[in-house]
Amino acid sequence: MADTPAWKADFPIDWHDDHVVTRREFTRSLAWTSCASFLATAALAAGTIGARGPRFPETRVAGAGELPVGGAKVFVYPNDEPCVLLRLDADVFVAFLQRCTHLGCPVSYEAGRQTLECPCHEGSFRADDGTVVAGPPSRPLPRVVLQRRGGELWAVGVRP
Amino acid sequence: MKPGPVRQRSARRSRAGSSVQAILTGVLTLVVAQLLLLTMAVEGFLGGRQRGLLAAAMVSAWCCVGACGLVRRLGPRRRD
Repeated sequence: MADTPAWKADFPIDWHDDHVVTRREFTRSLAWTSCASFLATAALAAGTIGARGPRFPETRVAGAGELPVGGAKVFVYPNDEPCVLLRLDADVFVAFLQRCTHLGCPVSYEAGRQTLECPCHEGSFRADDGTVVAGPPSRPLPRVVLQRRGGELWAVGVRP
Repeated sequence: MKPGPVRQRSARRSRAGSSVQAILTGVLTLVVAQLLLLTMAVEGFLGGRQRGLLAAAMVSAWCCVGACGLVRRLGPRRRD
């Protein structure tokens, strides 16, 4: 080994070996990943502790006699969000946000099929509870909570 | 008959390698579980479903403690 230069004898680790990650180092880096995952999950949980749901305004939507059975009316609630009020029966009123839960296209009411249809990707929701009947949406339409005050319908909240 | 020093060293390295492998597998399993929990937590948070977030954080904490405990068992690397 007489021809080994002195610098190589002093620094016997190759350039290539210097970049090798050992299993121990990888495992230690996994521990940091674990801590980061915990902190992220804890931050999400902490963000919800003590957080109250959003407060919704109370807005008059329509008079009960304004809509015929099978009729629909578009209104905005709570912050200029388009919503649709449906009269399914003489005493049955429901309202939903009009934005499709797939990609946000406005849904329209099909009285014959009792569904709300999205024209963009043919998503379909039940008119009575907003659940998905067909198409790409995976979540139901958010429902507007209605209150009947005398002969008037008021929107008082939104239930996702 | 006692095994020679070379064989003893080889056996010790083999045991150390196995323990590192076991610890690595354990930690990796815990981290994958934590990432799944985090995915579910983000999904719930964005979807407005706040139930279960605290439980996910607590399980994640246990996984973190377990992973750190396992990593502490990794000794320094011996260069025989």
